[in-house]
Amino acid sequence: MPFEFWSWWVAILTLTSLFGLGWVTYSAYFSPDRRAKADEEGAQSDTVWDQNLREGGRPAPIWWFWLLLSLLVASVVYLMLYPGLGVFQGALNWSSDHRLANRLMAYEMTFGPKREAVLVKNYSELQADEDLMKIAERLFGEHCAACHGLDARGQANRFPNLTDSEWIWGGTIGDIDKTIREGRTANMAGWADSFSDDELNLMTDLVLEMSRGESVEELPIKPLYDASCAACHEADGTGNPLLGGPDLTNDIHLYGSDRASIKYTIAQGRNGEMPAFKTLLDNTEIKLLVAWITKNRK
Amino acid sequence: MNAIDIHRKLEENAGLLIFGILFVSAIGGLVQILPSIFQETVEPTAETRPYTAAELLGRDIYIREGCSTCHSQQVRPLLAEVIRYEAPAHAGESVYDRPFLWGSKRTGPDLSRVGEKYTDEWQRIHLVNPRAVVPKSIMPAYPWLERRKANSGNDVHLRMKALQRLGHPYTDEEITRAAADVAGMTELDAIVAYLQSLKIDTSVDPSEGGH
Ligand code: HEC
Ligand code: HEC
Ligand code: HEC
Repeated sequence: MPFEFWSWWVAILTLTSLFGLGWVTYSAYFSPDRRAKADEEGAQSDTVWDQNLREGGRPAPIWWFWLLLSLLVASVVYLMLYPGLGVFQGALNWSSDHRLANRLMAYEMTFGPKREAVLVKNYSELQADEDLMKIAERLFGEHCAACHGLDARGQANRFPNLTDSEWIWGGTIGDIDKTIREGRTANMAGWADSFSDDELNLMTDLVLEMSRGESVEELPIKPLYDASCAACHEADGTGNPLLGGPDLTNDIHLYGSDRASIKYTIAQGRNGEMPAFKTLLDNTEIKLLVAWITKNRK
Repeated sequence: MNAIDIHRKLEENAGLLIFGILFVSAIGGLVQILPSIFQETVEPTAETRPYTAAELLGRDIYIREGCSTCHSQQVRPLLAEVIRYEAPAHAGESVYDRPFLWGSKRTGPDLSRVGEKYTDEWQRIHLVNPRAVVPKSIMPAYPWLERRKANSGNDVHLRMKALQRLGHPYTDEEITRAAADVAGMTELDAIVAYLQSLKIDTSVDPSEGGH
C-alpha cells in the first residue's frame, strides 16, 4: 500500500484515539446521570454484579478531570508542533538531524578558532601551555592509551614505550608526526626456513651480546648477520628507522629481552602495526599529541 | 448514548471486556508496527554488505557470549556521541543484522564503529585478557575463544542459506565456499573479523537522516 495511505492511517488513528479519550473523560464527569450523582450522598453505581453487588458511584475528584484535560491539550499542542501525525512535520519543523546539525555548528563556532590557534603556535609554545598539554594528555588517553598505556610507557610486550629516548621509527617531530598520521607497519620475516637451529641459537647469542654492548665482530656467525640482518639493523646493530628495524645494541626489546622471545623473533619474524590516525584525528589533535609526546621524552 | 453506558455494558460482560482491552491495546501496534511491516523503505547504505562467513560466525559468538549486555551498537544523534563515535547510526546499516544488536546498556563503549580502530593483535590480546592492555578494565576475559574452532558445528553454510532465504544477497557460490573460507579458524579469529567489520559507512551524509 502506498506511503500516503499509511500516513493517513497513522494520523486518523491517532486523532480518533485522542477524540475517544476526550469523550470518555467528558462522559465520566459531565453526562447527566453522573452529574446527578456527583452531589448525592452514598450514590451507587448503576452496574450490578452477582444480583446485588454494587460500587460507590460518585465521580472521581474534579482535579483528575483537569489533569486529564491538560494532558489531552498538551498532546494536541505537541502534535501540532512536532512530528507525530503521519508525514506532518509539525509547525516547528523539528528533527533530530536538524538539532544535531545545529549543535555541531555551535560546537564548531566555539572550538574552531581554538583549533586554529593551536595550529599557528610552535611546538615549544604548545609545550609551555599547561592547559593544552592537559588536553593532549586526555587525547592520548582516549586514542592511544589502550595500546601504549595511560602513562605512555608501553605494555603487553607489543606496544612500545613512548617516554624513553629510543625511537624505532625516528624521534624527530617530523618522524613522530608521520608515525601518528600514516601509521607504521614493521615487517621482519622469520628465518626459521633459511637458518638451521644451530644458526638460530648462535644468532640469538649474537643479539644478546650486542644488547649487552659487547663486541660481536669476532663471532663466527657475524658474516651471516651481515648478510641477512644488516640491511635493516645495520652492520653495527644500531637499527634503521626508515625500515623500523630497531636498534639491537641496547637492552630495550619490544618483544621481551629473554632468550626465548628473541629467538622466536628471529625464527618467526614480527609484524608490529601502529594504525594510521589521519582520518580519526585532525591536524590540531595530531599536533598536540606530537607536542605532548616530545615533551614527555626524558 | 454516552461513554458511561458503554462502560457499564463492558463491565457486566466479561467477553466484551476482554475484547475491549485487546482492542485498546492493539491501537498502539496498529499505529507503530503495522505500517512499518507493509513498507520496505529501509535500503542498505552503499557500504553495507552481508557478513562474510567468518564475520557471521563471529557475530553469533558475540551474541552467545552476551557482549551486547555491556556494549551497544548504535550511535545516537547527540552531540557528545557524534564527537566520540562519529556519524550517528543509520537504519540502512542494520539491514543484514538479524537480530539487530543495537542494545541499550553501555557498561563498555559503543562498538558500532570499532572496526579498524585497533589492530587485530590488540583485539586478540584484549579479548583473551582485557587487563593486559587496559589495566583497570572490568570487562570479563574470554580465553576459551582462542581454543575453540569457530565452525565446529560445521553449519556455517546452513546459517548463510537461512539468511539467503530471508533475502540476504549471498550467492550460491559464496555458500558452497563458506566452510572452506573458515576452515581452521578459531572463535577468536572469527569474533575479531566481526569486530573489525563494524565500520562507519562513509557514503552516508550524516545530516541526511534515516535513523
Ligand atoms: C592498536 C594499537 C595502537 C594504538 C591505538 C596506537 N598505537 Fe602507536 N604504536 C603501536 C605499535 C604496535 C607500535 C610499534 C610498531 C612497531 O612494531 O614498530 C606503535 C608505535 C608508535 C610510535 C613510534 C614509536 C617508536 O619507537 O618509533 C609512536 C610515536 C606512536 N606509536 C604514537 C601513538 C599515538 C600518539 C597514538 C594515539 C593517537 C598511538 N600511537 C596509538 C600500536 C598502537
Ligand atoms: C627486512 C628488514 C629486516 C631484516 C632483514 C631483519 N630484521 Fe629484525 N626487525 C626488523 C623490524 C622491522 C623489526 C621490528 C618488528 C616489530 O616491531 O614488529 C625487527 C625486530 C627484530 C628484533 C626484535 C627487537 C625487539 O625490540 O624486540 C630482533 C631481535 C631482530 N629483529 C633480529 C634480527 C636478526 C638477527 C636478523 C637477521 C637474521 C634480522 N632481525 C633481520 C626488520 C628486519
Ligand atoms: C561486563 C561488561 C562487558 C562485557 C560482557 C563485555 N565487555 Fe567489552 N568492554 C567493557 C568495558 C568496561 C570496556 C572498556 C575497558 C576496556 O577497554 O577493556 C570494554 C571494551 C571493549 C572493547 C574496546 C572498545 C573501545 O572502543 O576501546 C571491545 C572491542 C570490546 N569491549 C569487545 C567486547 C566483546 C567482543 C565482548 C564479548 C565477547 C565484550 N566486549 C563483553 C565491558 C564489557
